[in-house]
Amino acid sequence: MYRYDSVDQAIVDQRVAEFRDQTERYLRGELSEDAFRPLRLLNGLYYQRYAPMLRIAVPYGVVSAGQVRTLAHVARIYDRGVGHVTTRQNLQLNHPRVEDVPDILAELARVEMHAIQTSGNCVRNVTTDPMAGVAPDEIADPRPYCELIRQWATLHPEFLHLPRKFKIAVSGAVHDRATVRVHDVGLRIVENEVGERGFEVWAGGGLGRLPILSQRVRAFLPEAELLTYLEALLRVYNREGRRDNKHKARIKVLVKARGIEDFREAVEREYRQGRDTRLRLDPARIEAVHQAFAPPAYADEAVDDDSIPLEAPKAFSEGQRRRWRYWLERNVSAHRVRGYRAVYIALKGVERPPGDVTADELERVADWAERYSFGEVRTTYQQNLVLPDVRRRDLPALFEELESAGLAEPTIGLLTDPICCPGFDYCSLANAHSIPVARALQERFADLDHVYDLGDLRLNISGCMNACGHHHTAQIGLLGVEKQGRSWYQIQIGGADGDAPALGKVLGPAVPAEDVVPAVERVVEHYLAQRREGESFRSTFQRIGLGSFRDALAEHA
Amino acid sequence: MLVRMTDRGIVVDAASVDAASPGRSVDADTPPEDVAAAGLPSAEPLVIRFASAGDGRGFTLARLLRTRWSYTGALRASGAIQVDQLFFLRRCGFDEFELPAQVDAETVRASLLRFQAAYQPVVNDPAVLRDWSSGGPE
Ligand code: SF4
Repeated sequence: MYRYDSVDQAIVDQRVAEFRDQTERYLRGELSEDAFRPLRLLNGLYYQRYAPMLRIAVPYGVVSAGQVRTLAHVARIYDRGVGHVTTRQNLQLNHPRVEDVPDILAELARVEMHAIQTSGNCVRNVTTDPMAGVAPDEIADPRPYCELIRQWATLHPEFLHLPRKFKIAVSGAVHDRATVRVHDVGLRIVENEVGERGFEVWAGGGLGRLPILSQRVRAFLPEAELLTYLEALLRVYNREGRRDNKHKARIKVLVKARGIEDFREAVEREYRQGRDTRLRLDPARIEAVHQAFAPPAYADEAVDDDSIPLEAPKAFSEGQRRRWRYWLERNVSAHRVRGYRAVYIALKGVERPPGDVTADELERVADWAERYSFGEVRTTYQQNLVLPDVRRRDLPALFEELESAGLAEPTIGLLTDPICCPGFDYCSLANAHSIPVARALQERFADLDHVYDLGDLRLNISGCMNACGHHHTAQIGLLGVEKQGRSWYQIQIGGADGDAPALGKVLGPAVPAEDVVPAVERVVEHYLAQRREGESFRSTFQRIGLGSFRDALAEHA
Repeated sequence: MLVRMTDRGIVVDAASVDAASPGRSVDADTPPEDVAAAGLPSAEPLVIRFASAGDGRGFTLARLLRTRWSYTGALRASGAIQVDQLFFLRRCGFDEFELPAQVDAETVRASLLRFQAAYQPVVNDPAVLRDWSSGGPE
């Protein structure tokens, strides 16, 4: 993992001092609400529906066991003992007191963490593949580049007041697990004809009110030019992005209005003209950051493990054995090193708001990370956790511990693994509840055999058109809308993230809350009735089309 | 109040700004090409007026005038700027700042000297700067 050097630590420490001063001036009445607002936002502090919320950065979703313990500690001491994993791989505290935030940030700074730029109109936390560094299909590890971008973007004096927020994702693998096409800028690591490493640069994607996939700006950007090019692109956006209407201020509106050719030309011109060569990355600098993410000391003898059958623990009941088999299938992921696996910990279930994790659980996760995964944990944009480096032979023991802690939900990628925004329970912008809908679906689809039979099926929930729950890129997306002062839900189907991303299509008129679960059931039943042998929901949808689902739903109306 | 960065350090002048040289003034959203085409002043300060504190265009404008057009005269930020932005305005090339009279001079100094390290080479860089173009230590 990357460790702070003296520059990193100085900046974070001085940032804490700055925010302490600003908070004190605000509490003394020297700074008005309006003057304090942009200052607190640049430090991740929101005022939500009922309480403040602090969004702590988890850069590119990588966090050490020690940092996880600190997160547990601050959640327990300064909040109600619960944290919430977000779709930008961050961790939110939903009820801190404003006057405590400088102390929280100081505690975080001691373990090389911060909340800088987790909100506001600036470059946000860079996200990546949760399998970074361990994925078998990786071209190069994206984490070093994420870290370089993190540093460059942190307190960048020119880009702290962009027209709107700016989200960057980096993927280093053949398969995109970082949703690069729905980001303001998406970078994919590629190699050119002569084997040099660089990036394919995409821009102008996003969800929200104007869901749109990004377009390609450049087929190959040499890695040394990563920051010089981003600086040119950000400058074009800073100068030309709309500021008259915040709903039209994201870069996707600029790219769409100018057209990709014209936008590309503007960026390239700025890049040629304005490059500051001091930002060009020296190979030794790149190599030094790669070194920070060097693989852990995998056991040589683990290569032989793969041939040994994995046994469920002897004491398991038949039901537990079934969960164990499902867990191996859904929550255990391939690893580039023989004898190792990456293990997902689902933060989902009937009793758990999607993405929530308690302080006690965080501490156990830290213990498991130390005992089974070289002390490292990942957060995922699907609001789950990953232990990236588990030895295969340890899987039974780890499963038993996860099971006893209620953290072995074997449902990764299934209907009961929703991405879900906070919705009406916390968010001031919400039209509808999201968490109770997730709960109702968990209850209805509690039968594991049934959700297994459905296979890969992403269902996501957003409480309003801002789409924080990524409902557009789910096979089944639920969107809260307001109708005559009441919450209704629009259902969209056919969306997808990953290599062939697609935006879902509206299935029909919105339904009231009590009809959401029955409507999802009918969509699912129609899929089961129509699918061919081994066909996924997505493939079935592509074959039979939206109309077929519409007709099926209308029959029941 | 007028705050100036000078060879002698930070000078806080409590007198009203009208008393100081008004200089030529442009809005923060003016394209730098237009500002440069109209001729950059040589003696008076160039004043960039912010209609809102969140208008990032003024930051880019300052940086480009300093780097691309090599403007070396005084560059003043006026209008809706906030005292907590001074360090970043300064980094982009501003060296004079118009602030409301009631702003505390100590807060001004603290803001201008807030960070002793930075990642980005821009205009007025602090002593400790991340070195991207070599592999060695800072
Ligand atoms: S989608 Fe809407 S309701 Fe949900 S968190 Fe985002 S803004 Fe709030």
